[in-house]
Amino acid sequence: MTGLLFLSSGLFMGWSLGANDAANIFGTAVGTKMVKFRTAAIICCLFITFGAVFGGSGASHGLGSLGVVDQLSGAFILSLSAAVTVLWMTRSGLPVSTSQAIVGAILGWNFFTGKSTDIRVLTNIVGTWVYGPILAGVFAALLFLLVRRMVNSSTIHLLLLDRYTRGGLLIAGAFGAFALGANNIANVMGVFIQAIDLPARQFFFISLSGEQQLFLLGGLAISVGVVTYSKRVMMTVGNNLFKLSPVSAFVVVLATALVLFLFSSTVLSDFFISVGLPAIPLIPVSQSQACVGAVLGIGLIKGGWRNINYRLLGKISIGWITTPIVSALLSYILLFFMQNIFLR
Amino acid sequence: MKGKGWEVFTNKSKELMEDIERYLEQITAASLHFGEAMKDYLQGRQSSFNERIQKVTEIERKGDQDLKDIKYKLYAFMLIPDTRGDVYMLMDDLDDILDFIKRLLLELSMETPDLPDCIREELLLMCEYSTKAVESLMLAVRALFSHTKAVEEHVYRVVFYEKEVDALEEALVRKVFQSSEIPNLANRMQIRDVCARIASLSDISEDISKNLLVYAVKRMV
Repeated sequence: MTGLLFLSSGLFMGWSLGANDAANIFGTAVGTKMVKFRTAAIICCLFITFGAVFGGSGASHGLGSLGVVDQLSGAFILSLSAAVTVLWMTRSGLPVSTSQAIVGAILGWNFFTGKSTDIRVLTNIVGTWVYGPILAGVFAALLFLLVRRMVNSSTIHLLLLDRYTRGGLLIAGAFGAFALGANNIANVMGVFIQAIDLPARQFFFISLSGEQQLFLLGGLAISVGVVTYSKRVMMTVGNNLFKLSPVSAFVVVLATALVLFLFSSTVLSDFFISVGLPAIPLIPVSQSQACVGAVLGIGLIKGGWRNINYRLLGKISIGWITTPIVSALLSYILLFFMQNIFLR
Repeated sequence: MKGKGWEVFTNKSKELMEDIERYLEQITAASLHFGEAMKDYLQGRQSSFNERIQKVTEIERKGDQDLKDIKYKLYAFMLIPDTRGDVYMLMDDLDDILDFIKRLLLELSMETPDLPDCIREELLLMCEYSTKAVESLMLAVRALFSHTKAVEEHVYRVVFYEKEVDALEEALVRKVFQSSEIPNLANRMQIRDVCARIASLSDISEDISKNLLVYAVKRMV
């Protein structure tokens, strides 16, 4: 019971992730009423949880290498700091990423406990914040060129194309949800891995390790966020923010999912090493920022540099700096209070 | 399983494609009947003319029913919102052609204007070009659905035939008002009115084809 109480901050983080990030996957499809919210929610919940349980260890261990949090109360504070930072910055209308918030919170932990921070790991993580969106932009541009060539030169009937597009959106959405679960579960449950030691359990035909049980719990929290709150965000994304055509939405979802998958797949990383290439850093990356990168990639193809919203880019860059700083400060302050007031 | 999303696994698209194709065939058939009906009228084959009117009326009635089905299916099962709206508007516009052909022939049968032999050839040519404008429009519509790049070429043909009809109409009206073979002013004005109505068929086709160009540009990814 105490364990669950300490996990509550992580579960809240999961809820928040589900409420906000599912919209990046199915926002256009649901907002434009091409796909029913119920269908989108079922796909999201299933694949996010599936991705978290079976693909979540890579990015979680990547995050763990930044700082080992071996106390449950500490993990609770870190997760709480990140969640509060995300909540506060979202309410203030500032672009925020759960990945950056959790990294900031771990840095705060390292400062507080006097543990050294591996600069190489930190550089790798900060690097992904920059080249994650850039990579998403490149993927989106290439995919868009390919899809445009295929659609414009094909003689597929408009109605069949519509059917394929909707099918494509569902499949890309499932992949996007899997990648989100695999990559971003680290933000939800990553800090708890070293702090909780659960024995392996058998669930029907599947045996789940302690870590996977945590991810399952995190996946369920994300699913609750999807079911309870994401519809509102999806309607906003579909109608106001990014007014994407369905084909562009398909490309954006696929490109974003590819980036998230790239930074969470141990199989892919091992393959890179086996062919003599450098290992892919398995780190949680911001899905929203990858999404913006993908939209910009398509914008560049469609209308050149004039299409870039430099103010938005500026705001995101500021978010890269402010989010981890705010989260690190908050976790440091909360850890200080916890140690000197509650644990004394 | 019902609901949007799962229809991707059903075959409603094919059903709608067939409905739309049948509807386009009806418009083509109506325009061909129009050409033949005008020949019948000008050559005094009254019973054949009346049969054509009946056929066109029947086509128009079926067309209305098909249009209703298409509209229902578009909104119940199908399509990306933007494209769905465009197809809906297009189908609605095409209905104007069916309505117009039926009304034109019915008015002709009610008014029975005297169309003398001296203008018969020009009138038939006007009808032929108007029919060709509709046929080209139908090709443009089909191209929108399956070969977007070809829309522009077909639209160019529609515009070409519309201009030809306009030129023929102008020449014909001048001829009517200058001809000593048609001394009666009322008759002259009635012929002018018939010419204007025939020319309207290509005008409607041209208007639809211009909208079609916009839909085609929107369809290009």
